[in-house]
Amino acid sequence: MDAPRPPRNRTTSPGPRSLGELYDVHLPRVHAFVARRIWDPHVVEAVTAATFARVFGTIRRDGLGEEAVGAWLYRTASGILSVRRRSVPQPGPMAHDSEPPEPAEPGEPGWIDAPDGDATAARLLAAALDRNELSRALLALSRADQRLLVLRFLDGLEPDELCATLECSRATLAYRLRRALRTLADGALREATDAA
Amino acid sequence: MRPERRAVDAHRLVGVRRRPGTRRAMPARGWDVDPAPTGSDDVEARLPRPRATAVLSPDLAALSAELAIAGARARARAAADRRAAPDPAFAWSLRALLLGTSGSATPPDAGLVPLRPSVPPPGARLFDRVAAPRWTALTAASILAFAAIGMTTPPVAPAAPQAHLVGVVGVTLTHAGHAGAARIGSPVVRDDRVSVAAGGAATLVIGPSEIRLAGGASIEIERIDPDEVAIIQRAGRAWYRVAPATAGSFTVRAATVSWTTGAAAFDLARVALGGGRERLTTVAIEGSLRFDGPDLAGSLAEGRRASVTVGDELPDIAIGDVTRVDLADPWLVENARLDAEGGRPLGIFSGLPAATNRPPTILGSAAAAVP
Repeated sequence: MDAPRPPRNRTTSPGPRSLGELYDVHLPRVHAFVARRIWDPHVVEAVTAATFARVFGTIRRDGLGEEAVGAWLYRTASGILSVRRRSVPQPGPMAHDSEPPEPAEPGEPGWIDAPDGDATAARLLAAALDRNELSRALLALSRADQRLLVLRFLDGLEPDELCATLECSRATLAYRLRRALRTLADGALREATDAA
Repeated sequence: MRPERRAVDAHRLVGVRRRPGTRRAMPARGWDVDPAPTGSDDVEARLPRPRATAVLSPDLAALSAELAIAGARARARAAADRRAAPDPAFAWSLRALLLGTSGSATPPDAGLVPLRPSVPPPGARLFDRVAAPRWTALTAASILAFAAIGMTTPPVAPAAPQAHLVGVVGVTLTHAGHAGAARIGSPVVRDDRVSVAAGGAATLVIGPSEIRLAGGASIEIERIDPDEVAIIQRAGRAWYRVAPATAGSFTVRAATVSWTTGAAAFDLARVALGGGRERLTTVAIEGSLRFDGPDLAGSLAEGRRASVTVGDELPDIAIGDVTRVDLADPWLVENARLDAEGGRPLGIFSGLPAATNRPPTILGSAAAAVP
């Protein structure tokens, strides 16, 4: 990975210059990561900004930790994107004996119908595959396997970044990757057989 | 060897392979290891598998290569559509917001300040755009000007707090009668109106203070002066976090009622009841505030809530303690957590659990963004 890594040991808070360097290096990658999952450019910018604000705020407060900043940013962005549907409570009468406000339903005011970012990215990867049966098999995978393959092959995350994003050990990651590839290969074979 | 010790060793061993030509095991850096998952309680299951199964089989390796090529192709397509690249104006504004400096000598051309051409974005260093020789002239002129008038002028007045949007989803900013889509970093000045679409959200920073608007909310900036900040809440719900150093006083007007404080956190919801009547519900989260209106004056202490019905001849007010319903209100809890992340006092939410493990929200807190 071409992105430079921050110091591995916890340090004092970096100054604006070093934070600026981190920002310049990681902004294009994080923005692209979000843009592959969200089509609305305003939401992409909002998620990107929230990601950097959260991570940089923590760095300012606690200093740089053991984790690489790139991995940290991906995990944060991924967490924000995982809030696919968010209900904003609407103001209403708040009498003492009233119940807590009900979450808004789809289509009602207060409902944010954020797209399923992982599914969007999976479709992007599937569309770029040469073999149709492989595309169909990819889209038929479980969400977990789909997400892993997208992070690895579409986003090009390195092992450390993947481990941080998926919050698993390196060993578990290798196991899951092999299993996902095997499932995909079997699925593609089935698709090809069915088509024949 | 004790089981606990073996478990640790096994965990360390998993994912370790030997490089060709060396005797020493080195940490694996690639993708060709195939250990068992570490989630199992069985220690033996965590031990590394034989080398023969530690690499991808040829069919999976070929599949992996095929996916990698497709991924590169998809990234290239996205880049060609300019979807993946951040807008230069956005990158510049966010950088200035996060770091307090623009970081580049000149701002990007495209849409730098689409809504306010005459006002630079927050943190923009205006004189970055001036060539060095002009700096010298400007400095000399400034010295001469101050020398000429310095003894006769009063002390410089404190600057008015700057306001800008740090979180924007579905937000319209109206300036001088012209409405446009707000962007992160968009400055907000007197008489501007910020309106949030249903389902959207916005975070507006005024100096060290912060206003978070729920979907459907609309506010207007009445004044931003060193001695007073005044906001008109036209509709919807907003969380106000007023920091002490913002201005002499911070006032929010809704209908015929004003809420004033020097430092506090409170929530104000304005709801139409029909027939020209409205209900204003205010919850004092932290600190106290004063309210004024026609035949109406008093104070709201921390932990109290007020419900004012306006539109009749005289406002009707009911004041009581916050309820468990308030304390469980997701909007209030969410905002309290965002304030907690910024190290701000939580008042009635002091017992709120730490927010470190919760999923982050779309907008987050400006507290982390503002240096």
